[in-house]
Amino acid sequence: MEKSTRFIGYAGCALLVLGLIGWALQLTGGLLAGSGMTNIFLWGLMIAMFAFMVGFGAGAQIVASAIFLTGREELMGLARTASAIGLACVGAAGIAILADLGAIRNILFMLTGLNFNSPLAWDMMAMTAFVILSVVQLVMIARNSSQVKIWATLAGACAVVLQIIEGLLFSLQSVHAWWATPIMPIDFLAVAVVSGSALVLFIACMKGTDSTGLAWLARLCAIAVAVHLVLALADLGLVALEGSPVSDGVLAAIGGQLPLYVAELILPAAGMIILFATMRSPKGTPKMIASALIVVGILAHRLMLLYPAYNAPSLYLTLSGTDSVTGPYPISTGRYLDWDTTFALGTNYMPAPVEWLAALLPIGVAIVGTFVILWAMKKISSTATR
Amino acid sequence: MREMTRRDFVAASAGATCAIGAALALDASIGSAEAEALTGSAPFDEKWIRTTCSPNCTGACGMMAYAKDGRVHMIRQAADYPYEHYNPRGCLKGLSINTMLSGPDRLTVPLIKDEDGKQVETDWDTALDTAANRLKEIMDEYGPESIGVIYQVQGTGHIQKGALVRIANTFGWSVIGGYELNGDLPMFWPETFGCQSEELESYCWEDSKLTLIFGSNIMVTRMPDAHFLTYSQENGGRVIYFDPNYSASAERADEWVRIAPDSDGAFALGMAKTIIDEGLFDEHFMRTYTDSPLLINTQTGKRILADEVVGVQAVADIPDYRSSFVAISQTSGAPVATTPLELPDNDYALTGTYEIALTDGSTVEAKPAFQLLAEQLEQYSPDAVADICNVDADTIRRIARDAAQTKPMHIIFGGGTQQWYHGDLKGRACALVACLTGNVGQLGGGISTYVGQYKTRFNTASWMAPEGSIKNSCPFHYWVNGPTPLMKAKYPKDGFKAIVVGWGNPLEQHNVANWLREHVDSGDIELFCLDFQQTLTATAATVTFPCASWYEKTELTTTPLHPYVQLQQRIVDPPGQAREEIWIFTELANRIDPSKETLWPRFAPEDSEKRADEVLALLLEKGGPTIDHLTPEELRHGPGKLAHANPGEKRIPFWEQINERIPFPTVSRPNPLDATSKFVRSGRIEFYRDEDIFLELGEQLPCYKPPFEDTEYKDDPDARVLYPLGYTTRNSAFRVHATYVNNPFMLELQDNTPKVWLNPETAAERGLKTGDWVEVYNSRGMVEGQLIEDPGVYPTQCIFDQGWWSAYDNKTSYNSLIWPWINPTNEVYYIASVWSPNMAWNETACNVRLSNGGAPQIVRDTGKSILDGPIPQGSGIEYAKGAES
Amino acid sequence: MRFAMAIDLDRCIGCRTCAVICKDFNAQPQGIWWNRVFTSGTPEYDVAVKVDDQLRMEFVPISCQHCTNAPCQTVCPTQATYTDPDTGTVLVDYDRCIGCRMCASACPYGVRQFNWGAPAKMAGLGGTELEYGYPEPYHDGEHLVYAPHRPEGVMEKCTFCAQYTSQGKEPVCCRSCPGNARIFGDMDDPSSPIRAYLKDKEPFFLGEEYHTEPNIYYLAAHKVTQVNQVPASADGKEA
Repeated sequence: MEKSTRFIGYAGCALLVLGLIGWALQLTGGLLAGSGMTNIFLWGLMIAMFAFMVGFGAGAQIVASAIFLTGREELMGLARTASAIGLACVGAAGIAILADLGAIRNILFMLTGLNFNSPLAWDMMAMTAFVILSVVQLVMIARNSSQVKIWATLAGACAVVLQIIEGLLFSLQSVHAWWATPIMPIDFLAVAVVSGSALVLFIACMKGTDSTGLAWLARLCAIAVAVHLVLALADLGLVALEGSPVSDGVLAAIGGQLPLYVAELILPAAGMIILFATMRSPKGTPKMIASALIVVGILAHRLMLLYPAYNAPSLYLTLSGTDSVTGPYPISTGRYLDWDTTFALGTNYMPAPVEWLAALLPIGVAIVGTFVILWAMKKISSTATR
Repeated sequence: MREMTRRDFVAASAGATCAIGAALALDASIGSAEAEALTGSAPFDEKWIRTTCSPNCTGACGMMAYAKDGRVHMIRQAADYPYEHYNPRGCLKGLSINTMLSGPDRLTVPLIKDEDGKQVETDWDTALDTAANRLKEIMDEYGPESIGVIYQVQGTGHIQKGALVRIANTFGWSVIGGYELNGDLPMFWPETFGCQSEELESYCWEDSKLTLIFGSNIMVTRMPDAHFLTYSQENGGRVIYFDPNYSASAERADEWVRIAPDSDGAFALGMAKTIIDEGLFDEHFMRTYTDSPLLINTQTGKRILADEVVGVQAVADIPDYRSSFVAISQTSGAPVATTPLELPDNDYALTGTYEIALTDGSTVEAKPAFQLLAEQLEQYSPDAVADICNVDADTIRRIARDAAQTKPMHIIFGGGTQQWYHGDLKGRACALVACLTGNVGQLGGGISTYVGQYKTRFNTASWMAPEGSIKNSCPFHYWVNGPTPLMKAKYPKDGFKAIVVGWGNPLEQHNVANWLREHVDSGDIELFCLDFQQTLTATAATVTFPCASWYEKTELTTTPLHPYVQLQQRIVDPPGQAREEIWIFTELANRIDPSKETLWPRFAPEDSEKRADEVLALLLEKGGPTIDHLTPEELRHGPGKLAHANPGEKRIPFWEQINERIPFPTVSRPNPLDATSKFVRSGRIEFYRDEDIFLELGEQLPCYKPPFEDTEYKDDPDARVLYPLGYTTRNSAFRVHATYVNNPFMLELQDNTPKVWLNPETAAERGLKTGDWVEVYNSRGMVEGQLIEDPGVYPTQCIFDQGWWSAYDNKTSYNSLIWPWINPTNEVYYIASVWSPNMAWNETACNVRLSNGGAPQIVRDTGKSILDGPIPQGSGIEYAKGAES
Repeated sequence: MRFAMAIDLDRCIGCRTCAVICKDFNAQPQGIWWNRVFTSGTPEYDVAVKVDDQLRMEFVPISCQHCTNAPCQTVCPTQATYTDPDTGTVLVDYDRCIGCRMCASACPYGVRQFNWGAPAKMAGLGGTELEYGYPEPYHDGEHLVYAPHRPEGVMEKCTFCAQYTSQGKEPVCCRSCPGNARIFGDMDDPSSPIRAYLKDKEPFFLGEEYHTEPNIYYLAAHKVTQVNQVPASADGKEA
């Protein structure tokens, strides 16, 4: 193994351990009470991490499937890695959801008495389906089977469905105007492609893949970013033009996090430009920089899922008997003892230290998981070829 | 009228749920037989016991409490008042007192100050002996009248609290009238009607067709009664609410009239002028029941006595507190003597100028009081008044006509408008409107004041005035101002040396101009305190006695707001070493002077309830016709209704005067009638006061005088510029004065934050905005709070919600800004709580600025539990446990 | 039966007795409020709001609307949130809730309250814990819908005082309202108090744009005529 790869492996282990410590602290020291979340700002850094990770997972799988489908020989090795990353990241995303649960002790009820109307149930089923398909696909890859293409396609399709479902998980909550658009599921998919392709491109550069391959990946990524930015700006445009009290609240919440929002637009845009500019270049460094910028921008995007949703009140009252809107209605934060107000209209959410720590868990799982999966595949390969 | 109430859920046919409901007899049920199909749960019904919630709010709401493990675990309203519309009563504060009864601020151990002045826990004997010895020393050296007694407050307790009055009367301590100490004595009442105060019980509000509310935020300060105004509206009545500031009561009214602060009196005078000018006044009422026809010597300003007039003989056999005056008979055109013994129909002239020959040989010009009134009102035309009040003249005329032509019409004149230096003038003007429109003595009509639970509704002397009573009293005003030349109250020869305070927190609530704290800190005044919460007063006292709360003893309560006598009952034992006050005072009396044992027969602490029962029986038996039909047994089960003079379900104030022509005043218990009758010697409602000081001040008739001219600006002309805002320490929805300040639920609702309200423009002028931590200040003191911009606040006002213990507010006290001005009209006579200098809380000028310090830690760390949790122990104030630090 | 509640805004005085007794009776931990009462248009209590050139201070109590088409129930993955078929009450089974908080995220009314950690204790006498509220757990069938000691990490909200309604009594907010502004009953029963109260009136609902079919019927308040000569600029910005 190369030195850099080994370093990544060790880093992954460290993150995994730290993340477990963070989660353990949350479980014992008052579960989620040490966090910055409230009854207004219900999902925080961990759910942002879930979305972040699942984007890489599904996206990496989609990239891998695309490689398998288009039969690009120079990228086959990469496709193998991408598939492994796909499973590891989706698994990590699942771990993130579990780590965010307040009462994980009751998790078995998701099996007995599952509510099929719930988007979370669909998410669980889609993730499970993906895991199964991905495992089969990986075994096929490991055995160098002729069926790889079929299973890769199925896994890729499942990844697409997974992203649509998760987009729906947000967009079906009509309470949050920021999410409740038909664009959301599509954009979720686009962001997955962006994430996956950026990550795979980064790894491709690290591995010294040749320029045709890099160019293919770079184009895929850049176009995906372009699509995503168009969708994101369309979303913003819809909100800006609506002119209702609710949409004004969304704009205000965005304004309250302007640096973060600007980052989510500017960073991927910059990356995209770099990619278009250096597409044919064999040099890896600019593309790696571009990928990094895009990844950070996507993290900002995932965080910006939350603020305009939770800090934009959903309930605006009118003076009874009239049509005059008076204003939004406060919510009990549920965080009196260690908080500043009992009731509020929004939460200036800043993840608590233990949340940052726990957020390392999905990253660690993803990294370590990738290594473990690749190792397992190598084992299967070697037994297959024996 | 929406007749359906919570009690009527069960439709006539659905008797099924009554099986459960019947056992309780009083609970509402959903109204359907299918309720039995639901999974049942344990009702605990047989374990609920009734008591009465009793802070000084006039609610006196029946509560049922469920005890578990010796603590009150749940509270709900009893809602068992026979007059259905009274139900349910209760409010958010009393319903959550279970958090305080066994909370960390509960006093459970007697406390005394050791030699270093530090307060330490002790046993009952030491505490009682220390207090007894110290009090005896003070009595011996300075006289018993040097010991002041603060007793909060009359109607909330006649047995246990009554024992403090009894001991004061036993030794001759000076009772500091709580009514005027709290600013609640509405002086216009004795000045006009000769009585302490009067009011409709709230169930009369639903009978009013027009209610004018001045300075009384009923929806906040009378939560249990507020719905009667709504019922009035649902019955086709209207409510007009006068207030410089918008409030919950403005919102529920039909009309809000935003008058300038302290201008209510001017508005009423403008109304009076309109009513008289347009001939809409009730001539018969004015002639029969008021001093309107009585002749005034225009040169001396004095009422002319019958005996002074040639050819007129005073009515015979009148007591020395009455006088026979003179009026002009329209039939004969000649002066006749008026009788103060009854109020017959008559033909007296209300207007005109007359020449009266006096027995001393002179002839004087005389006018009936009504004539002088009409002349006085010339300067109060609606156009003139419009400027004072900052409303338009047409509004005044319109409302005046409305008030005159809608019956019954009820004026509520509240603390917010009365607690100014010239509160009496304003009240007299409003009383004038009530009389001109003939609404006094009618069901749902007249004028009422609602402030504290002051009223003695039956004869209490059997317990409170023991044999050999020495009754001393002196208003708190004189402690702070010192004796004045005009005072009629008795000032102790060496001043005051001690206060025995029961169930009050004067170091916070009566700490005007920081006076009391300074004198206690310097040792000039010693405190002896009884309470069930650990207040600042309790922590500063030489001796503090922990008491039983309203859930832990037998006590008798009444209130002016409803006609029911209720008991507090012992649902749980007082925690720790807390004991019933009746035992505490018995022991104290005996230890001060063992010869008093006949008055104070001793008993063991565990026999306190037995003794309370005896006193209860005594009070009922000897209480007089309003109460002696009630028995202890029936009161143990629910409310008992006081008797009243007029026929019909509801008591009508002054009914006997208006219908049976008995002269004014009504009795102001516990004073005998003759003590207060001299306030209205004529036996009539008096709008003209001819005592020298009234004449000197030009206040013989109701008039308008602006705020601060005779007080703040006279004291310090710079105040006009330095302190341009009016300071109002209003009552909060979350407290009854300072009671409940440490209720955890109330604190949560307020984020532990004392607040200051300003109009946005007023704030902007000072560069302030919502959320800033500010200081409200004047030359005397300062209080801090978080600023809230509120367009509903009048631009010249600054509002602070009173009742915050200073521990929550960086040790600042809202009362430190206030001075107890003495209005000389309040010194013409002295009867404690009837005619006495009254605290004019609102007569305070102030200004607001940004605070250099920040919000106190307790505001930043909202309430913390001392128990294990994510919050470290010892951080933050545990519900003001750190008050002494 | 279909339990419903009418709240007459014309009678509501904004005293918050309903919110406090709800908290006290249902042993809600510190920080948690199932029921809240605010002035329409401002998060600050006791402040007037400028609406249509007038100052107003309308109080609107909001607690769980027990929607017939409850989004919280739709999204709950384990069916911890469910509707009691006998009464239409939307309840939470503390033993099934996994604490994912999607229900709270989906609720337009912000009424769901999460136990973020172990419920904080309240100080009692002498360092002991203060306990309050209905002292025993209540099960609807096998569902644990109320417990005086809350499990960690589960969601809770108004239950229409299931412990009481199962005894044929009304929820404590209705019983305790000093203004008699809250009326409870069975909408399927023509003789119920709520049907009688709503007769010939036009109730409105909150959050109609979310299509939740709430079962809290609001009645509008009357207009307040105002004589107010304080200049408009002093009365601040529009709400």
